[in-house]
Amino acid sequence: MSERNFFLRENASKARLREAENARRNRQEILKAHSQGQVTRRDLIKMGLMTGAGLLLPMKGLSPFARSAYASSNIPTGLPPSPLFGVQPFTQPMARFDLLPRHTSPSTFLNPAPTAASNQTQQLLNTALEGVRAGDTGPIEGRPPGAIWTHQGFSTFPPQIAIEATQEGAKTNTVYNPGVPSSLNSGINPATPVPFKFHPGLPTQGPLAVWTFNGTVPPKLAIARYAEPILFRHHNLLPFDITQNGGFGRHTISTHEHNGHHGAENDGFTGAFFYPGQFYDYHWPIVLAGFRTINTAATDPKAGSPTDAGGILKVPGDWHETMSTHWFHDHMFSFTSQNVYKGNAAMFNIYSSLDRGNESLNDGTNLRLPSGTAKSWGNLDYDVNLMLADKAWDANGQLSMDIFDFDGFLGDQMTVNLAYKPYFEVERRKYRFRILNASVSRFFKLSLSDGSVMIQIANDGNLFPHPVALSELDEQGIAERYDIVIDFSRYSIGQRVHLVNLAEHQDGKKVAKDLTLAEALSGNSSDPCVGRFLEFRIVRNPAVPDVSQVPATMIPNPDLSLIPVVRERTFEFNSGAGQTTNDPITTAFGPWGIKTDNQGSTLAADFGRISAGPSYSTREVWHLRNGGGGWDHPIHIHFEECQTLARNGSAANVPAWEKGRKDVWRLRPSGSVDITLQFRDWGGMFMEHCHNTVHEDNAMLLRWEIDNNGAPFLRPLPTPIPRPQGVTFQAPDDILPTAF
Amino acid sequence: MKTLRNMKRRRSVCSLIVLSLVVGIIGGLAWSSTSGLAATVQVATVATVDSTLDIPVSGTVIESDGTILTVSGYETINSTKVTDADGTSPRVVLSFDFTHVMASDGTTATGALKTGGFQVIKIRPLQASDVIPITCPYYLNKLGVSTAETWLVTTTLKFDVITGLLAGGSASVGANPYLSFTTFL
Repeated sequence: MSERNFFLRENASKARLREAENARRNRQEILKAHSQGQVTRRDLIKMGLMTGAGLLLPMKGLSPFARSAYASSNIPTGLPPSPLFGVQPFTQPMARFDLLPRHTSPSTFLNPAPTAASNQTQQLLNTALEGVRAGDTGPIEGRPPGAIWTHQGFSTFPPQIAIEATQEGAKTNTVYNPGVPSSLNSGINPATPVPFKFHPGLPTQGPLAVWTFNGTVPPKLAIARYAEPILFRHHNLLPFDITQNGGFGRHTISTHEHNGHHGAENDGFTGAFFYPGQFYDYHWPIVLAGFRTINTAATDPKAGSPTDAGGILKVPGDWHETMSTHWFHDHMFSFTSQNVYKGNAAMFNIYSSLDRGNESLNDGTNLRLPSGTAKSWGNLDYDVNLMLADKAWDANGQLSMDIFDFDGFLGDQMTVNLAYKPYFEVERRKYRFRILNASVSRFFKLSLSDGSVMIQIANDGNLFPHPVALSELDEQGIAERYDIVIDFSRYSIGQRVHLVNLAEHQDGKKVAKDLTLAEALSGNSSDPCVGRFLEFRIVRNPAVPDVSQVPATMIPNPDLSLIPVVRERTFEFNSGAGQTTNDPITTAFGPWGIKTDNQGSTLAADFGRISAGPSYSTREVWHLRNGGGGWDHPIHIHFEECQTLARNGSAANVPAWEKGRKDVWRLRPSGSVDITLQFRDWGGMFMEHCHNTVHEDNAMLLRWEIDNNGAPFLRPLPTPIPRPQGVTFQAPDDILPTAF
Repeated sequence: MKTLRNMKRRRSVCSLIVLSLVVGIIGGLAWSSTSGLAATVQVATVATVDSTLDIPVSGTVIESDGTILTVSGYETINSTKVTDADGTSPRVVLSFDFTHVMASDGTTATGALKTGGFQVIKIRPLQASDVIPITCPYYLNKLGVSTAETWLVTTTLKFDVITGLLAGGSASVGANPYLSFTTFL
């Protein structure tokens, strides 16, 4: 049994459940005030509610970790369990992702037409927006104005596909498009309206409780192929009034295409957020890294994009940098955890000549991974996106969040594709699953309930050099994507097998224990998210023979041996951070921070501070260190995929599944990771942060930039300061001495 | 700047109201609080201890079709004891490497069955003895990972809980018992 339980069990005494519910309501009032900007962390510290380290003081009636009046020992109060209203696991089908429509001719489909520079056409502002007076106007697009934030390569890579989505409160989905027939979607009829529920037997979510793409479930999936640039227009339709947030979430957003190799103006910089009533045009060119210097004549078919006719369009760039599974999500400064938890998360499949999304095309380049055959590319029949996330809801069944443990937030209910413990019908054949950990603070470790084999083929969207057979995956930190293949032909029709979570948490700090399969299946874990959470039902033989493959060789790593390392940097991730700036917009105060290059103290985030400024067209080695304190941190570096050189100082410690490219690394308790990365093709300001988004928000994040690529870039770049009336710029608050 | 000042002023008014509400909550709580506990900030006192052990693995596995496999070789365990915060129990980060475990069905035609460098990493509390069963994929190299099946390796590890070093271990191998855990509709 655990030393400390984050959630009470459902069979706890009524008195303890009542006590915990009261505490949650009390905390909710404080969280609401904090999320609406009416009290700051400093205010809470002054009031004696919180320590300087960010911990909520364990006061009975407030903290989930105060000693309970009803407990016989020093057992913490815990949080009340999310009520299930009689719902049983594995009683609803898992709806597959909802495809975002793709429109050709963006310049005619989108109104107004997209522009290279931010569209600063003025509109009358709603006075419910903070700081807005009657008659004020502001730009229709929230992207910062001017040359620095103009789309890089807009004329070279003009948008060919428009994808338009909103961010808005929960509503019924009447246009669900899974992209596959009902028979491949557990019998779900897409024509039936989909109310926003985690299960048909659970209450409908209110429009202030959840804020998703287009306001609906299932979660959204965008698809793209190389050499087909996308213009993603994101409309902010969230409430104008900052207080209309259902108790948590911030109505300003910034959308990060994780981990796109794009210019910084399209990266969802944490300080480039936009307001309700505005849109932001993100230009995703979908290019292979190295396109300016490698294979520039586009002669290698492995560097290619699938054509509608089943052929290959050769493209410039390094085919070893081909990517497959991305996602996009909010990156709002200090509010990422709340907004992503509230529903700002979608997935993004990218297709290439190697990863075609067609398993029958046998041209010597296509890897023929499980997908389907009906379309020349992008078949989803046997290529399934899974978004795992732990959630919690209140006594009324409405999504609930409690950030007042700055170690991290855990939910007590497992969802897959925002459905509570569903089932999924499969045929007796191979399937590819693209698994995303979209939690706030929870790590997973996955196994099949029969301990049989899963073949991992990709990590963070990067196909491996060689597939890896596993009976349990490594821990999967927040934002990591693991692509696996499961061959269901080994089962009989009528059998059921489950995905099981082996990673037991006691709090949001780190995994307390990786259970054995027997321990996880025993039902004895104090963590309600341990055990079975997705049921595969083997329902039939495949209608057509399975011709998919898992090749022994997929995508070898890019060869960096001839590229000199010009610089090494060290980033240490710690608690007890200090702050040297006091900007009301750009500065965050939190217990978390990053110490750079062993200089000075650990610093809390300030998106006006430049911590690193690598030179364009160079390669560096970065050392990521966990400063200890009892935590693990999944560290994400934006922009371009990296190679893992060592763990704890040794290349021998890098496991097989981390020998490809990656963009998120769990440092492990007191661990370290050495990586190498390049800075090329694009410029601007990017980020590095912990993807335990509670840590990120409080304030384990830093800004780095590539800014010496000549005009229009400056050195250093000015910091954007968004307001409804328009974005202004100011000089950086701080530049660390080792940055440039 | 004028707008910014107005924003701050409006926030101040709101803050007063909210602060009153929050203070009210706390006031109501304070008198009833039975806890005098103070929050403790965990200090980073990082200490790690590494140790390595090779453990022989041998035995027989009977496959579902009756084929008897003879398993032999050794697994390599790397252990890192981590004490990274005052007042918390130490953990061990365990890496299991089954690269050198292989099997034969007694015929020369099929060749050796290998694990393909199978690894598992687990974080466990440090304790004197820990029994960790792991299903281990194996396959014929020439047939590839798609054909992998699993056997069960149960490893018993002994630790010196004072130093955190691996003190010994043993392993047994058998058929994967979880295969029977699949249920029928």
